[in-house]
Amino acid sequence: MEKEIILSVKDLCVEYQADRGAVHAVSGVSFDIHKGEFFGLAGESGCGKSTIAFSIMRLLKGAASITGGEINFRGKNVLMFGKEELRVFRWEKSSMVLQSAMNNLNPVVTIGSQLMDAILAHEAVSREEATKRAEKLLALVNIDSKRLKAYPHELSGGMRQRVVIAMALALKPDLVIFDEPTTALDVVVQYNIIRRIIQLKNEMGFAILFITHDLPLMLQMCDRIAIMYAGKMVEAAPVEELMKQPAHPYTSGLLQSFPSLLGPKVRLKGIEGSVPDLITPPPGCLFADRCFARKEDCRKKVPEFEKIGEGHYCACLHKLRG
Amino acid sequence: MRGFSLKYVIKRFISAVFTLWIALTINFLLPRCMGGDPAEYLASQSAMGSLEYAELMKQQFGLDKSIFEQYILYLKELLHGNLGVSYMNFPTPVKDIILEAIPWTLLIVITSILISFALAWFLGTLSALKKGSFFDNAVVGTSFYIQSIPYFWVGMLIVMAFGYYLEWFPMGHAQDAAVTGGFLAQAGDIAYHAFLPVLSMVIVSLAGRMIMMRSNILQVFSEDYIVLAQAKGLKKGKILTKYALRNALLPSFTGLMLSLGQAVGGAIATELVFSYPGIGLTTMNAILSHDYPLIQGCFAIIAVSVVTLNFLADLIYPLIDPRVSLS
Repeated sequence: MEKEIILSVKDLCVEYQADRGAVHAVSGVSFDIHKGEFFGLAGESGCGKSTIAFSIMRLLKGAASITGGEINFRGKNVLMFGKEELRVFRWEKSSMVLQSAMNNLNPVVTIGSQLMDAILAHEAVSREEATKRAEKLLALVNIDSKRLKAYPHELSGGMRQRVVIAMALALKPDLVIFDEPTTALDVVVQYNIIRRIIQLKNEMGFAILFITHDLPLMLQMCDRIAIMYAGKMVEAAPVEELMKQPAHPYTSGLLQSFPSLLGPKVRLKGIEGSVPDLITPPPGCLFADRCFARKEDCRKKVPEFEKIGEGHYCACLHKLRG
Repeated sequence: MRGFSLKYVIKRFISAVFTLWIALTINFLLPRCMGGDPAEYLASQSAMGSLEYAELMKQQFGLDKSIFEQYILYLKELLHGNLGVSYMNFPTPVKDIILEAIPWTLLIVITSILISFALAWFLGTLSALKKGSFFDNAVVGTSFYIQSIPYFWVGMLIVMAFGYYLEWFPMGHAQDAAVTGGFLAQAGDIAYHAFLPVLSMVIVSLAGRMIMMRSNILQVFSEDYIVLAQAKGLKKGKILTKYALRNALLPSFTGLMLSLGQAVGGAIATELVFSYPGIGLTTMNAILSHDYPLIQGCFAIIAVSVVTLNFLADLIYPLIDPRVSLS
C-alpha cells in the first residue's frame, strides 16, 4: 500500500548571488517523502543539501533565493504561504535540528524557557501546562526534568543536541528535518542519539529528512536515500537496492570510498578530481569530469532524472544497471 | 550554581581596594612630579609675596616635611575622609569645592551617556535590521565620519555655531545668576545651559557605540539559535527581544558601566570648551595653580568612582549573563 506523501519537492532551484554571478546551488531537484518515512539526503559539502533543508523551512536569507520549483506540504505549496501560514507551518508541521550542537540554543536563556517558547508560540496553554509539557519532552530524550532550569552551557554537547531534538518534537510535527545533527559530536554520543531518534520516530510516526555527508551512518538507518552532486540529485533509491545495485557511477564511487567493518578487505577507492564551478557549470553531465564510466556524449547531453525501478531514480546516460 | 558567592565578592572587593590604593598613591606622586613649587607660585600671585611668605606657606601646608611623611599624612587624612584644604582658595576645604562641582559634571555626563546609549541601541538595532538600506548606509557613513573628528573640535564648532553666531544657546557656564524665580525657571535655565555640552558629548560618543551595537546585532543574527528561533515560528518581536537583543546588549552593558565609572573624570574637554563649572574644569585649574590637595581630591574622586563602578559591574554582570558565574 502506498503511504501518503507528506512533502513533495518539485524542480527546486536555488541560487546564491555572488560577486562573479549566480551560484546554482540547487538546480531542479525533485523528491517525495512519505508519512513516517526516514529519508536520507547525502552528498559532499557544498552539494546543496542544507540549502534544500533551509528552502523547505523558508529560512534562506541574504544572497540566497529560490528561483523555481515547488515545495508542497500535504498538497500546499510552502513557497506560497503568507506570513501567518508560514509561522504555523514552522514547527507545528515541520521542525528542524541544526548542525551545531553548541549554537542551537540561546546561551542566556534557560533550556526550559526555550522549550516553552516553542509550545507557547503555537498553542493557547497556560505556563504551568507548558512547563509540564517541557518536562515530558526532556524525559523523551532521557534528560532529568530538573534540568529545565539549566542554561545551555551547563549541559554537554550531546545533551544540548538532545534538548533541541526534544524541542523539535514539542508540537508533534509531521516532518522533522535533521541537518547534520551529530556531526559535531563524538561517535558514541552520535550512536545513542541516532538510536533514540529512530525509537521516537517509531513511537510518534513523524517523517524524517536526514541530511548528512556520512553515507555509512545513513545506510544503517534510512528507508530511502537520495544522493546529490553539485546541486543536482543523481540517484534516489530504497537503501538495500542502492547498496546492492547502485546505478550512478558517483553513488558507486561513494560506496567504495569507505570501509566495511564486517565485510572482506577491499582496496578503498576515492573519487578523483573536484566539484565543478557552479557559477558557470559545464555543459552535459556535471559529474562527467570525474566519472570512470564517462563516454563522449556525457559532456554534451544533460542526463534526465528518470525512473529505473520501483522507487529507484537515476540521472545518468550510461547507468551501471538497466 | 548561580548566585552570589561571598568568597567571590570579598575577593573582588579586596582587589578593588588594592587598585584604589595604587591609584591614590600615584595621585599623591603625580602633582609632585610636575615641578614648580605651589608655595612660591602662590606667593608670586600675592601682592605681599616674598620668599619669607612662601616659606611660611610651605610650613602651613606641610610641604617642608619629607615626601614620605607627607605621604603618610595624606593617607591618614584620606582614611578619615579629609581631603585637605585648597591652596588657591585658602582656606576653603577641598571637599566643599568638589561637592560644589560634582553635581554639574554628573548632570551633563550622565545625561549624555544615557541619551547616547539609548540612541545607539535604538539606531544600531534599526540599522542592523535594515542592513544595506539607505538608512543603514547613512548611519554607518556618518558614524565613521564623526568618529574621526576630535572631540574638542566638535565642541568648539558647536559653541561657535549655536552659541556665537546663532545665539540660540549660552556659550558657557551652568546657570544664569540673573535667573531667579521658582524651581521650574531655575531647572529650565540649567537645562538650557546644559544643552550644548550634552549635545556635543552625545554626538561624539554616539557614533562608536552605534557601530558596535549594529555589529553585535548582526553577529547575533548569524547565530544558529536565531535561525532556530525563526524555524520555531516565534513572533518577530520575541525573536528580536528574547533571542537577539539579550545577547547583543551584553557587551554594550560592560561599556555602559565603564562609561558611568568615567563619568566624573570624563568631561574635562567638554567643561573646558563650555567653561562648565564641573570637576573637569576644577581639576584643570588646580593643575595650573599647583594646588596639590585639590588635584589629589579631584583625582581621588575620579579613581573612587571608576573602581566602584567596575566593582559593581563585576557583581551585576553574572546576573545578566548566566555563563559568567560568581565563583
